[in-house]
Amino acid sequence: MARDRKSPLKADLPLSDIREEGMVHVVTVRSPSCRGRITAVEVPRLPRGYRALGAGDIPGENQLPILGTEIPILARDRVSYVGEPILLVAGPDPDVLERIRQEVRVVVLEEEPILEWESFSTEQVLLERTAILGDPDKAFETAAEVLEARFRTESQEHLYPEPQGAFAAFEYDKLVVRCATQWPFHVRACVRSVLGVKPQEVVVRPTPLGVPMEGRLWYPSVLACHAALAAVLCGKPARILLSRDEDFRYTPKKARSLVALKAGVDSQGTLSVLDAKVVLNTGAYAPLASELLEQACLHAAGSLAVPNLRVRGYAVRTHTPPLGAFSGMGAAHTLFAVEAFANRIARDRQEDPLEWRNRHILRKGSVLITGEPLRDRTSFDAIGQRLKAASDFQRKYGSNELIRKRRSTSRSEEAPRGIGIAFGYQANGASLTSLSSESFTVEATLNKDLSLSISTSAIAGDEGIRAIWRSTAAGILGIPLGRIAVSEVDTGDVPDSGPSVLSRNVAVVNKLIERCCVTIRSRRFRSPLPISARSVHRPRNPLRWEKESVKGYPFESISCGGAVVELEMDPWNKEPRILGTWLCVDGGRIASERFARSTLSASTLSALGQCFRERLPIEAGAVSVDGYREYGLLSLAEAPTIEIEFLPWDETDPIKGIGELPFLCVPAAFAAAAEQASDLAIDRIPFIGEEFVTGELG
Amino acid sequence: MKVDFILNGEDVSCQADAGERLSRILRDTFSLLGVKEDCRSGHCGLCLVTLNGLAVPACLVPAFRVRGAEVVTIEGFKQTEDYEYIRKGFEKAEAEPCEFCRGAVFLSTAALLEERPRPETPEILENLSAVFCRCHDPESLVRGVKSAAELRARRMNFRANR
Amino acid sequence: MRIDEVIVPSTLGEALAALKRNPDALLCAGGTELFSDEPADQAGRPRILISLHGVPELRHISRTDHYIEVGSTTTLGELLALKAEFLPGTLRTVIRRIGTYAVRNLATLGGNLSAPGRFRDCFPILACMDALAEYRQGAASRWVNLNRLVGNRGTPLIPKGEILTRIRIPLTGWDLGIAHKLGLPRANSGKTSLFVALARTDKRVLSDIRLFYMSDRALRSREIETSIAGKRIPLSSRDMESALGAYASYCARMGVPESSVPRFLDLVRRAFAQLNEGAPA
Repeated sequence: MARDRKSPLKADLPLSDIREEGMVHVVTVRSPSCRGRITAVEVPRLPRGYRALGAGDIPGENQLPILGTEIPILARDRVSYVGEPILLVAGPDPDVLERIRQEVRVVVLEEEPILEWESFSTEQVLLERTAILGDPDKAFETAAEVLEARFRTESQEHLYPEPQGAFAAFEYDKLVVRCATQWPFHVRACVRSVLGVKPQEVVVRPTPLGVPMEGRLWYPSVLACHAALAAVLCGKPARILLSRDEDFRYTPKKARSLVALKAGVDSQGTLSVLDAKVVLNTGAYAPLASELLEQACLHAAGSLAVPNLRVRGYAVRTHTPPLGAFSGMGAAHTLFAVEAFANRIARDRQEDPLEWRNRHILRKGSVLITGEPLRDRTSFDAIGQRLKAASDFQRKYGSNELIRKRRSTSRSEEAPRGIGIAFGYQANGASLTSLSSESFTVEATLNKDLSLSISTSAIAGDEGIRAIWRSTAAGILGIPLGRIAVSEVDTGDVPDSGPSVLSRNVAVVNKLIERCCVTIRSRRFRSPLPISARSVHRPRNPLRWEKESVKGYPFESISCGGAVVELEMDPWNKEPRILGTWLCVDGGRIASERFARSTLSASTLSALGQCFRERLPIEAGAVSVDGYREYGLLSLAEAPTIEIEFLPWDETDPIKGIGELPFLCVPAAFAAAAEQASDLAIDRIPFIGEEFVTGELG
Repeated sequence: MKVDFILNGEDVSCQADAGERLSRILRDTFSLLGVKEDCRSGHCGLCLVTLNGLAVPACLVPAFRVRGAEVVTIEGFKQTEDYEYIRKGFEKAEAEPCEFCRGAVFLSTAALLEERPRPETPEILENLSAVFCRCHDPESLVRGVKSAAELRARRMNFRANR
Repeated sequence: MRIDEVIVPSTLGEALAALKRNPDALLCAGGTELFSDEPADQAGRPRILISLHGVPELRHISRTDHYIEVGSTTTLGELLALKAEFLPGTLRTVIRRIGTYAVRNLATLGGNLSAPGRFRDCFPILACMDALAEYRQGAASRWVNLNRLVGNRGTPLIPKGEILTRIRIPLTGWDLGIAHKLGLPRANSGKTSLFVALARTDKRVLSDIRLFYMSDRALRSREIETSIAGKRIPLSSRDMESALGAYASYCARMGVPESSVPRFLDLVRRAFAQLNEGAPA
């Protein structure tokens, strides 16, 4: 595949800013139907310099490799969701391409789509997981009271600052692919598979990503394949860049979920058994279904230690655009449900939620769903105490409860208030089944000038992660931070450090950097410079899901957190106004408190927005046309005070990932606060007040 | 149509359809890639420029509106002293908007400080609400703006007292 | 967005002449709605635009003791920059909810009242205040109470072929001013609704009350407002129920879908409750 040399583009150039001479743009012709058989694709006569590319033009495999799913790069015979890519059109002028796209006619013999997912058929089940701890059936028989509730999480959008896309062009004999991705080597594997070439012939250089949010794990690989195809078949640099509207309607969104909980309590209100049925709507394709579902199932009891536990999880297919990973992965779904449920149980028993939790809290040694005891300490006691003090939780909760009980007899138009608390933990370096066969490698080199180069394909996302890596290296080797560089990611130059997901950057990559530096240190005064070290991580005890159990240890470590949310609710339209948010985190050693605070604060704002502002309606299998124009992040003007506290740490404590904690703790705290303020059962996020009011009034 | 206007302090001219968006003209004709083109509905704020001194979303400005006007983009703003105050102020406060929204945040800050040399926190948050980004940490942005305001005020006092 | 010809007059006279020559021309000032979908009745025909942004007579704010007068191309940002005593508080609240400050630096009050997609933003509060709008066509001009811009069934009747030149907003003080936007903040104007309530009391008597609800149609009954005015404050349960009954009948006459009526009545009930809460003991 030898081609003319092209000079490399600036490494930190966003994809939308990439302009190369002779570059062709690529647009996608998509399925108009949810489900059916493609009977015709009628392409008009194309002007010179324009080309249409379909599945038949793919020289290699027309599917996404790895992760055990069959996602076509371009649909050939059948379509499974509105917007599924069928054809690419490439050419020099985007306006002309748009006109051509409108003229292409796709004929689909439609079939009845399957859109229902809360009650699902066997054929819809993509994946099923069950695990049992203790004897739940017996425990229910002896329970004094059985309580039930159902919680739903709707789909949401990652809303990256730049829509998804990819660029591909030849440099010498290699095809260089650029896209914003959390998994550069996956992009390489897909592109080489689609082109039918050797891995070394494809190089991936990621473009800036923004906040990761787990939405760019696999889908960028699809777009990279599109760009690569166009580049190879047109013989020119090619860029595909979705419009914001396209990105909003057709790229993967957060999975929808229904978590049905049933709890047995004794006469003292102590939880003795919990049954959780978790249903995840993963849309038409879900390459990370096992990650999502397993995380959801593993967190089904949340911060509670329950002696008898049954979890049944289902990833269910529907004919909608792919629905999958979001910040918090699958854990966010079940943590919202179980923590909200715990708050409700406490409130209905007129117990303080913190005191009720103290009887059930997960601690070091508590038995997990895997049957193994938790190896990490948890700090929920300390977290609870700190949150209580910082937010004045007990006093506010108590007085709000009094007001709530009297509310039905008064018709005050004052905005009622509520306060809620929830806990959660973030699994670092989760060893989940489909990604556990991967090994992760990091290299480091102490150069002759005594600078250190760290080489990894992990995507840092922000400067905070790189700061952690550098500080780890600096601490071991005694090198000034300014002399430690993290190499630009180029799959031709760096080792495969796996996907940047589930806090692996901190839990795994950072450890590997540590090991490399320890090795270098041990050789430093015995070997001449440069000294290189390589460290490989392979999950030692990956999870194995068997018939009704799961074996293995679920994660490298956990970081714990808690959140308190205080709000008032507009009585007119039940629109919440957040008065304050408090977070307390045990993240082990905090390498950079500044970055940690900034990350948590930004994540908290996002998490709050997801509770009541970010609404993504999916109707008749498609994201609505106006969806993007109506989708809103919580604006800075609405941002509450966000107080963040870290539990003290020792210098010997490990560094842990904490960025997802707000997504794991805030929603349930919000729900509890909103329930107290409104007397409504908040069993769905996002909570849209106006819909409740209209529904209530009938 | 021919569109003559002042761009980043220089007289420029281009051919554009009357209804072409200013954001597209700035990016495609003048290669000013600091103006991002994203939502195309004026909401995200990433395409912020100043038009005759006022911060506006370039995606909502049609070409004909620009004739005879003065437009400043982040690239032009970077040549000014005000940019340095803002950049240093944010750096000093260790506030780091991401590369996608940084230009818009800085331009928005400049517009605010022009009107309110010592803005309060609610004013800062209201102003920066014009830019939406997942990276936004309210506290650090407020610190950044206040730090920039401080540097700017000191410089102005210094000049006034000289 | 396709524009086949754009005319940028520099005086009001030029603008009126241009409109006379091109009666089907689109008018714009801030231009923030230009990039919305092309109007169906324009599809396929040459699209002529008359941009009023360069007409100085249309961009001014003046004030008397009784009203402020705003040129139609005055931006929403310029209105918000007015001191508190020069812009009624409830109107300020409504304007602040429109877009972001950067959008408000472009968007004009006249544009907001003329673009179908934005009509629900400012129109309800201004109509409640009995604001007047001046429309000019050729040499003719007329002042219209904004309440005339809705038809018998509450549907908007935005004038075409005329230039909205000025809006006169009374500076009457109100004891109660409510403007609630219902629906998600970012939802476009077509999917939100707005409820406005203004009331004035005088020695424990409700001297004036205006209630306006706008979704896809405008609901306002002066008859019912007149029947409530003059009642003692706090309103008695009987007075409130009577008014609610009258509104229920009004909704039926206006053809409001049954499913929407409870929401509207709830809003009216809350307005009464808030009025009573503010009443002296």
